[in-house]
Amino acid sequence: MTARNRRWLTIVGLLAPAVLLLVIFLVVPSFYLLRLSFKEIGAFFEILDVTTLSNYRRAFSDDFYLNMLWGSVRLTVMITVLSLLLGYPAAYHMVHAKSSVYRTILYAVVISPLLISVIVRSYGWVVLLAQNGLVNGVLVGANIIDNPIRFLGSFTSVVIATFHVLLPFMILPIASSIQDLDPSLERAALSMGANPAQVFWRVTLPLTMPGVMAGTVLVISLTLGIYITPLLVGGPLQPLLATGIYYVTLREVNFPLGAALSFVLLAFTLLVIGLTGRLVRNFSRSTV
Amino acid sequence: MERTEDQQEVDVQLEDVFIHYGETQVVHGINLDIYKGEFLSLLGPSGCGKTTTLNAIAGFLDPSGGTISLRGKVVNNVPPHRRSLGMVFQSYALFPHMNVFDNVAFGLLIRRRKSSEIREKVMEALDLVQLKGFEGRRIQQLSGGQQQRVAIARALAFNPFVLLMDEPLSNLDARLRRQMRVELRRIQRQVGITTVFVTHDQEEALTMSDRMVVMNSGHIEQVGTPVDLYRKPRTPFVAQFLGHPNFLYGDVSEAHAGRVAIKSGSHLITAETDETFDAGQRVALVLRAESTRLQREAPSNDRNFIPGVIEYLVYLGTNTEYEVALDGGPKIRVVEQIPNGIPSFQVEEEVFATWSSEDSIVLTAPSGGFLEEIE
Repeated sequence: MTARNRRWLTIVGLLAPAVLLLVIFLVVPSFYLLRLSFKEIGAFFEILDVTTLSNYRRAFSDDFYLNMLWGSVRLTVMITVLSLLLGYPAAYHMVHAKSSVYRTILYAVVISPLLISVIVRSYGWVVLLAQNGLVNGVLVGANIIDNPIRFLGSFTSVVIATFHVLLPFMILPIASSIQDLDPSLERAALSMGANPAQVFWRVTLPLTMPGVMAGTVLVISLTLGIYITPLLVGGPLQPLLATGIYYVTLREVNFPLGAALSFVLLAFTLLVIGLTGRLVRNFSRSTV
Repeated sequence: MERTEDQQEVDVQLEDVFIHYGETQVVHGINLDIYKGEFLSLLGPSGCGKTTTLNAIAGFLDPSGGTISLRGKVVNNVPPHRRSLGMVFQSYALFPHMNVFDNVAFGLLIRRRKSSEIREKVMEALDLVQLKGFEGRRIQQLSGGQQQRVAIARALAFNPFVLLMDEPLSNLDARLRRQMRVELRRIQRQVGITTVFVTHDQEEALTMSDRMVVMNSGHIEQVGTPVDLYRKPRTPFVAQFLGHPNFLYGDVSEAHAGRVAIKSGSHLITAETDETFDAGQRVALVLRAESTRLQREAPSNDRNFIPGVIEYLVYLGTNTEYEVALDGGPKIRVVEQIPNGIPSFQVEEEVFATWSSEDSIVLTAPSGGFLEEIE
């Protein structure tokens, strides 16, 4: 056996298990799902042996589904912008905290939600936001409002809970890229007369863009796909594509339509991530 | 360069500066005047507070006591970006997302200068560091030495008051470092900018500085010209930090004006000194390896001598280093220049270590742990 062959064998040997797993559990089911999305169901929910575009036509013409797509877009934009605006300063503060004990506590606070199941966290919000929950209790008790607000089931509660669930995914990549930044770069800019705001826009932000980019892509794709949190705090009829897929598939038992909506969501996610990547690259180039 | 305080304009002044990191005090009351146009080094081992002092001048650290003034104006409450100081960092701190031109132009862009003026100033600065034609290069395409030059050009392009440098040469290899010392001094002279240079390398400080400040655990040991500090160290620490001194300890047996006799073991040593000592005082005699000679016979003139045995030698071609165990215990190092390349003595040979009374320095022996440290 030649050295070249041996090297190939090593590469194949190392890659094969992972590739095999992906093919069996991702690629094959995806093809199956794609084929399913061109079918229709009959009167008894049985899948008919036809090939049709009707599911896709319905997804893009029925206001019910268009509304879901629009809702997903709104939620994604809100969550991404919120977590960027609140996550970047938090990450910056975390990295630059002087006391190492304090810094460790901050990291623990950010990471700890990730160690708890998303269902438990979402139920936590249900408890907090209920008519007789803590938030309403405090607001009424402090005489800020007269009657409890109906948070649960509203889009607002979905935004609050989703934001909380996904914030760590924005903070951690940004914190890691701020951590990697040589602190003398900021000092150099200061010494040349840049005020702290100029230092941030011209040096810190452009050089931590990889972290911002990673966090943004993570949060966008997770927001577009999240359904358990909106389902628990907002109910099954939230105008969101992901909860919509859950509803269509498990309540209406319309598998082909669910499959079609899944592909609409997948295509949309890829499109948004592609556009975000281009936007971020243009931004870091324009600040040069 | 001789300087008298009243005719020199002071660019940077530190008065009773104390600096704390949290609870720990790292700089203990520093007083220092830095004159216009001079090249001043802050020299000391790591942890002596030299970089901390530089950062306080730059405004990155707030002193917990005392005042820092730039051109007569107290700047304790002036943030770093309003101090107009050029700074060169150990890591160079060049902006990796900008090319050479934009790096050098940064300080001018921030000051909203006209683009024609920016172009002119950047080119001037790049010319100064001999990097004309590199303006379009990315930082990653430059060698370490070229990055160093860009960092210097960038720190000078916006005409700062003072240039601060934090161990700028320590990331270069030995040959390039030697080259850059000369180069840096040429640039500094050409621009005439007051420069504060932090280093732990005594050779660097000796070769480059107009004046140097030797620092040790948060305070200043001595300030002076390189020749002053080498010839007349005032503390054992300074003596030990510059050159390769031998220390002999003894008690003053007779003190005259400008001259003392010291009893060290059974030997009587005479030394010239500007300081006054009292009879019976414990002193340290600093003997440079370079100014001590070895000979086979006791000298007939009034040179000091102590007999001893050569323990080992290190042959270095142009010179030889001997370690001599002196009669009575102490070991000293002696360097012999050998133009012909042949060492004059062998291991285990009995010799006399001799030196003239002008070639030694008498210091008050420190109390406490320093004696052990010197071993």
